[in-house]
Amino acid sequence: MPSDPSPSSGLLAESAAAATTAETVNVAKVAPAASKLRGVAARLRSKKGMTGLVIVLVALITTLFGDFLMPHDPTAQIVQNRFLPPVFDGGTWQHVLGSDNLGRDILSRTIAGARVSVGVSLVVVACALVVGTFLGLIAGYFGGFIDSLIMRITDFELSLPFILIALIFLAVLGPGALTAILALAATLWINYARLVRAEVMKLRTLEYVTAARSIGVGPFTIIRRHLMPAILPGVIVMATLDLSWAMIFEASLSFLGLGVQPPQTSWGVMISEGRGFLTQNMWIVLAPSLAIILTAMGINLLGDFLQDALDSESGSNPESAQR
Amino acid sequence: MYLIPFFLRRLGHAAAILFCVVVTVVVAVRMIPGDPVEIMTAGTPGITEEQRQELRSQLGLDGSLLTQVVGSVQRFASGDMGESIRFRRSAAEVVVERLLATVELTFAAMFLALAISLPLGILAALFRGRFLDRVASAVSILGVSIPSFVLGVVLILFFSLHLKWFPVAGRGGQGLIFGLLDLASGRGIQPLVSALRHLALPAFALAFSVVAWNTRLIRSSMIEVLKADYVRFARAKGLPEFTVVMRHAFRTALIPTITIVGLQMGYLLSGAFIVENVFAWLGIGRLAVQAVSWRDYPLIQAIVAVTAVMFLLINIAVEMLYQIADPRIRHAK
Repeated sequence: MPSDPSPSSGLLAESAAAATTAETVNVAKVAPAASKLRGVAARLRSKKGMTGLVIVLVALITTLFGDFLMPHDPTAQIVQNRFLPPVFDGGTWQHVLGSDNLGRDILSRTIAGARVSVGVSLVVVACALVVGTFLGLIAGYFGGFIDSLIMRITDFELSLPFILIALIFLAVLGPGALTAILALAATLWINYARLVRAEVMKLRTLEYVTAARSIGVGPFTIIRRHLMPAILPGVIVMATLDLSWAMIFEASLSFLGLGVQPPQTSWGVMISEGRGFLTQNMWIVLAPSLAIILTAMGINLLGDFLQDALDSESGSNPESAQR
Repeated sequence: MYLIPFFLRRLGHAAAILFCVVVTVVVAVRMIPGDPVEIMTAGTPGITEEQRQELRSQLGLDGSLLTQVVGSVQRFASGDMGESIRFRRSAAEVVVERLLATVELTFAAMFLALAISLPLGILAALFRGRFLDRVASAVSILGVSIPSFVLGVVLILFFSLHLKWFPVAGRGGQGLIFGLLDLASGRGIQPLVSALRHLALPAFALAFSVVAWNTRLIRSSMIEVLKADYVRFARAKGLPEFTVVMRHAFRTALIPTITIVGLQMGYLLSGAFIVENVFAWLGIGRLAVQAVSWRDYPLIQAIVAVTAVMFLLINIAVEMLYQIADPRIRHAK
């Protein structure tokens, strides 16, 4: 979790810690992608990693094929059906998790919420990854003024709690899903910019890069062919871990009424709407809560597993491979 | 006395960041699509054209961007952050009144997080693979996967509604500081107990994710340090295990944790904005959500500025502590 003061919280924190305790210097990750894949394959036996992978796949399938999985129309309000209990509490299989204060089917709404919650976090991380990696490459490769400018912007954002950045976006654009996406992406890109910049600065002095430059290969070809493949695995691991951060904070903003707006539903919106009816049917709140927690846990398990695989591949952190 | 130049440097750095913050919030209002004054006053019936004009000049919207920025920086520097449209009084005052509640919640959460994660991390490192280590590892995955507001709602459901151990919401009077003052001035322990009971659930909901990272961090740095030669030497010369762990290993293992406390304060502060809304905690976070829905721009500006000042000051304090605590830095000069 990204230093999750800002999103970068966890990652930054851990990497800061690792640097202090063990002076872990990441050996340049120049191994070709194929051997990296073999490293991952060798660890397929990891129980945690596989659990994470399965959960993430289930979440993705629910997101993509939700329309076919929903037993009912998630927006259909049937007044006679208000507060039906779940099937294990005297309800019927018609409405497995019962229904909410407007007679809407909770299971269907939870499935519909997956699309927004998972979808928004994918968009957020994709935007942050593309923008951050691009700026990080430029900053690291060219250095100079552009580098200082980009780094000062990241310093500025990192020295403020992330919520203030979100607040500024909310003030300008008003509450809404798009605002939430922009605010989260505007916080997350820093992780990628800093990671990629550090990697590029380390790599660009290596012999194979200087060799490429000396035979006249242009900067963009060097970046694309010689730097990107080495940087990408680290970026992907970071993206996996950020996914759960983005999902959690999209849900938080929607819960506060600052993100996704009803009638559109997301897990955060459902929890916010159901909060007043905890005593009538707590599944209005519990179903989306469990959905968020399980999905985030799956993503984190998968991310940790990928991180360990990557670390032990580059030989930087033998400790984590044993876990 | 090496601390003074360090302190001044940090202060200068903080001032530069604050300058950027003020410029950002001023430019932000300028970037609002449409007429900000129209949007803001849409929900305020009975506002006169004169008042609108006044608001326009207060926000600096009637001049050029440059004069607006310069004027706003001067105003903010003198503590004048304009007038809240909703409250019809100084926005800075409204924010500062709520400040204590948020600070109290944030610090309580940090205290709680350290009080849980330090022992848990140490024990997990000492008994690797055993029961407590498994608990620690479960906590460190759950902590980063459970959103604070979900945890808050679940805690209310179980501990407030079901078991009725804790109040559902609110601060229960004047809060912790005044509870302590009441106790000190002989007005009984009741206000303090009430404050602590109200504080327990929100502080825990907020602290849980920090517990997760810190436990993980302390565990791995303890494992690292316990392998060090000087720890083996301490054992070899026959020191009791407790002394070896606490005096020799733990103090070194603590350093990475201290370095990220500042970062985590920012995270907790962000989290407090969310948790406050679950527990109807009348702090800045709750105010912020209301200010956004009211479109009370001067109030939002004041919230951002005041929170930034508070956060920067906390961070300087943490860094000063770090300078004092770390012998490598202390003896370097």
